[in-house]
This record gives sequence, C-alpha cells and structure tokens, in this order.
Amino acid sequence: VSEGLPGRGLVWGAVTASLLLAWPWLLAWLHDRRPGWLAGAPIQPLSELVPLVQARGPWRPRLLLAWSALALAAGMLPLGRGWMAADLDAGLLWLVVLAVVGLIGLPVTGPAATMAAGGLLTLTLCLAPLVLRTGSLHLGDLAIAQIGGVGNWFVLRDPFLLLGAAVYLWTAATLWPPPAAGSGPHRGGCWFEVSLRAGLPLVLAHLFTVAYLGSWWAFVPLLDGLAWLQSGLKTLAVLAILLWLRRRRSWSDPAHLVWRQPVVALLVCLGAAIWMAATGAAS
Amino acid sequence: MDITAAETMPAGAAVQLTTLAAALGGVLLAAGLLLLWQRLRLPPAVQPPEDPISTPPVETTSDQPALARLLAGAVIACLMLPTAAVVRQLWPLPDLGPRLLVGWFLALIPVVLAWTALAIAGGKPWRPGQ
Repeated sequence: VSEGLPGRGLVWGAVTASLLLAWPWLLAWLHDRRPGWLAGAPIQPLSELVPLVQARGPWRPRLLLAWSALALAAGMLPLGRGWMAADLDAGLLWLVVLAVVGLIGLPVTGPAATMAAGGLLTLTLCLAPLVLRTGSLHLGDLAIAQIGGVGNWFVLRDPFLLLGAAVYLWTAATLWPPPAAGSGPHRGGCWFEVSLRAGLPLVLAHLFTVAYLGSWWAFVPLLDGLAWLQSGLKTLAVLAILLWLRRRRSWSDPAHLVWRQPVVALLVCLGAAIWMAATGAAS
Repeated sequence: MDITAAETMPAGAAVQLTTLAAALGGVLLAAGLLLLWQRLRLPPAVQPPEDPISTPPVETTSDQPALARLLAGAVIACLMLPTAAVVRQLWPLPDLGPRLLVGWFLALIPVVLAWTALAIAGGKPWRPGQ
C-alpha cells in the first residue's frame, strides 16, 4: 500500500491549480510571440484573453466544480516517482470519478453534453487494456510497468495498444474545446473557464504520457533521470501532436464523439484482451 | 474469524483519502485566492443591455431538473462503492465485500425507484404531493 502525505497533497494541489490558471496566459503569450507555431489552434491571443478576465463575472458554481475536478486530476498525475498530490492505489479509478464529476459540472447541455460523455467513455475504454496489462489501477504501477526503454512503452507493446493510443489522441484532439466566446465589455470572470478550456488538452496529454509513453522514463534507460523533465517534454510533444490533429477539421469533428470513437475504442478493448489471452501476456 | 468484530479502514486507505482531501483543499485554496483577488481588485462585470426584440418570450429552463442531477450523483456514488470493493484496493478487507454489496443494493433500490418515477413523469421536476 503506497501512502501519500497530506501536507504534500495540499501544497501540490495548490501549485497544480495555480499552474492550470497560468496555462492559458502562457499559451496566449506564445501565440503572440510565435503565431506560426499555434496557427489554426483553438488558442486565444492576449488581446482576447485580457477582456475576458478583467471584470468580475457572475458566480458559476458548476464551472468551478468542473475546473476543480480537472485541477485535482492534474495533481494526481505523476511527474515522477512521488511527484504527485496524492499517490492512490486506485488512482485510475479516481481519475474516472473526477472526469464524471467534471462532466456533471460542465456548463454544457444537449448534444454537447452527449459528445463530452462519449469522449469520456472513449478515453476510459482506451485506458482499460492498460489496466489488464498491469493488473493495477495505480498510476505509478502503469509507469513502472514501462521501465526499460521505448520497447517497453505500452504504445509499442502490441498492435491493439498502438491502435488504442491512436484512438486516445484522436479523441483528445476532438475534445479540445474552442476558446471562450463572447468577449466584450459585458463578459468577465472567465478565468476558470479559459483555464478549463486550455487545461483539458494539457491534462489529457499528460495522462497519455503516463499511460502510453513510459511516463517519467527516458526512451533509453541510459538517459533515465530528471523525471519531471522527461514527463514535461513528452507532454509537450503530445500536445504538439494534438494541435496537429486539431487543425484537421474533418478528423476533429465533434460528431465523431457520439458513436464512431467509442465503438472503435470498444473494438480496441476487445482486441487487446483477445491478443493478451492468445499470447499469454495477461498478468 | 469473529464476524462481530468491528472493521476499521486500514491505515493506508485512510492516509490516501486524507491526502486526496488535502489535495482538493489545495486546489480550492488556489481557487479561493483567485476569487478573493477578483472581488477585491476587479470591477464588477457590466450587464448586457436588455434587448426586447431578441429576448425570448418564454423563459427557458434547464432540461435537467435538480432532482435528476441529484439522483445521477447518487447512482454514481452507488456504483463507486462496489467497484472499489471489487478492485479491493481501497478497502482490501476480505469480509467487507458481501456486506458492501448488500448495503449497495439497499441504497440502490430507492434511488432506482425514484429515478424510474421521474422518468415516468416525463422528466418533470418532482415535488411532494404531485
């Protein structure tokens, strides 16, 4: 049983939440400095971001609930061994719970809510084969199971996991929300909203790094070390892939979230289970 | 084994839950500081001007009544409990599983009945006496 330290959890949670709040500003600054890098991406420049947060807005508890769930999920994802807010035995299960809580708090209804639920289902199905592989819901166990270089990363472990990784990236790129609309003198207090919209792809990219890309381990064991740097660089690389996918409008059509992506993810799940049974890889 | 003996949550699970609560406290601390800063330093948002032409004649209400949301949360909580028991990682106690299952069924029955009644009522908010 791995245990966490409440004091560390408090500090790490506050730091993660602060970073998540600062993230849209960093993206906006980068957008203004290097427009070519983020061309076509759903990222707001500083000129649009400042009016959105320069005035107090209405009290929106549902939005705060969704943002808190995202921030707590970000804090639970490990940057390295012990580098997380809460080291939980059933960490992956808690992540799904937080995603459901965030979904309930998300200020969307109708078709948008259906698409968000479809995206959550798809991502969960893409992570299920990894639980079968490791026999654990502990996020640290997922990372430790991939120790030993790029050949042990789950993304290259079997063809169905590779397909699962592709579906995960496809879904995460589709789920990248558009920028907050309605900039003007009457809108304000949108800091949590812009943080939620900009932070969701970041958290999903980090989760992909932990689940499929060896987490804090380098692609060759010789370069292991500086865990936070390995995790950070991989997460940024995944973000770049998500941006590239997001620019392809036909690929990142939200209509795919309703049934196409969940069905493909379900087939990936079944295929991975059959593959593991056939090759004797099931732990 | 004495089945009447009181079962307590193992220390590992208790510390993990405390850590999770502390992390949530950290998140809420950062959010609270931001909200406080907004209240102290930022002016209130200007309300959009009323436009009688574009105002819808009928007040729009949420299509998801509060009771349905509450029941959805209750169902999620009920589903979480046996899942946690099945994976036996959060409460790894051998004798706790069947008792949790019985408790889960007992808790789920009124929730499912209420949700079914709500569905029969066509999604309208349920009030006592209706």
